[in-house]
Amino acid sequence: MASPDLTVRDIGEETIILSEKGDMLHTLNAVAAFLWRQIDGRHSVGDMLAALLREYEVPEPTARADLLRALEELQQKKLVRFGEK
Amino acid sequence: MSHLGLGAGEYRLRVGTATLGLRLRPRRFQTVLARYFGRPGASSRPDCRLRVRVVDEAQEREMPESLFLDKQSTSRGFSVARGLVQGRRLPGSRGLELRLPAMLLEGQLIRVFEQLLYQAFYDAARTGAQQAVLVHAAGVIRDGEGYLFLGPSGSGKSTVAELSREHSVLNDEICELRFAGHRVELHDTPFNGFFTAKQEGSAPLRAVLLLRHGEVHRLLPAGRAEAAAAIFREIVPPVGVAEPIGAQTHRRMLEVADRLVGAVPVRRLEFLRDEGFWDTIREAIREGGLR
Repeated sequence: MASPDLTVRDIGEETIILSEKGDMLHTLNAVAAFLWRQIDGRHSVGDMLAALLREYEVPEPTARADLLRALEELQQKKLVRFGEK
Repeated sequence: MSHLGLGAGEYRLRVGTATLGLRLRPRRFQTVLARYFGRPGASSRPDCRLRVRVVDEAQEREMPESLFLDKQSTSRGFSVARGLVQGRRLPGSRGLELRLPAMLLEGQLIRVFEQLLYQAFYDAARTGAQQAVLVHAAGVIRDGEGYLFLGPSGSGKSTVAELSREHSVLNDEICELRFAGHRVELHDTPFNGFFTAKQEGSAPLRAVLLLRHGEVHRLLPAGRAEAAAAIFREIVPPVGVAEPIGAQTHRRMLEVADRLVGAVPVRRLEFLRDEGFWDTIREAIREGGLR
């Protein structure tokens, strides 16, 4: 799930995410922003991979590696939380 | 004396497109403030009035770096910075009554006091239909067009101001941006950075340049989100004196940053410590690369 209390603004194809206190600001490139929009608590990682492959013309292993790297980065930045219902 | 803005016993300070009516008591502090800003009182009617009671405090206090934080509602009004500044809205008028320690008007701490005036500017600016923000940036007018140079502390705002003396330097610390339809106007403010020869004026904003010291003078493209993020960081939070910063404030700052990126060209400017960066900008304009 995307963490609540974030301020999110789409800027063209990219996205800016601001922490609740406004002290941390993250910019997501077009691919990361696309993935961010898939993280809604309903889509599985497999769903996200399929969506990524539909949207971008990249080989499946590359898309998978990019996806996992992006998810890890989002988690490290505390922008998403996994394993919650 | 009313033409000097002193008729009501107040110092009228024009901040961009707004006028603040400042009455400080004891009166000597009003003189301190007028000398600090070095401007005669404005003749325009104040958009916001501050009635400030300056008190000597025996107790030692830790001075905060920010007067935007730790705001609370109190039984009599509000407090800022854990009670350092206390105040209330003046009934029936656009104004505030404040009580603050004399230390805030002494030495370098007057720079912290300025933050109250940033916020009073926002209280004053609320009346207009146009949207106005203050930005930590150097502003320069060249050939009737405004250029905004911004970046974090140490990125070169004051250096750019020093190197732009042949043009009209509005400020090297805080400028006003005013949005009018699809146009953005750059306005001077009286706030003090390091550059002392600043001039009053305004102009349509031609470009925003994100500063970085470099090996050569050059303009580089900036991604839209990257540009908006850089601008966001330099916007003075648009809150009034009594108003805390919240998520809504951040949303407005992002909205303003996005609007600015959509309205004028934003580029990264790497520059050396000489005025040659103006040649780089001029060349980019001539070649149509700053659109």
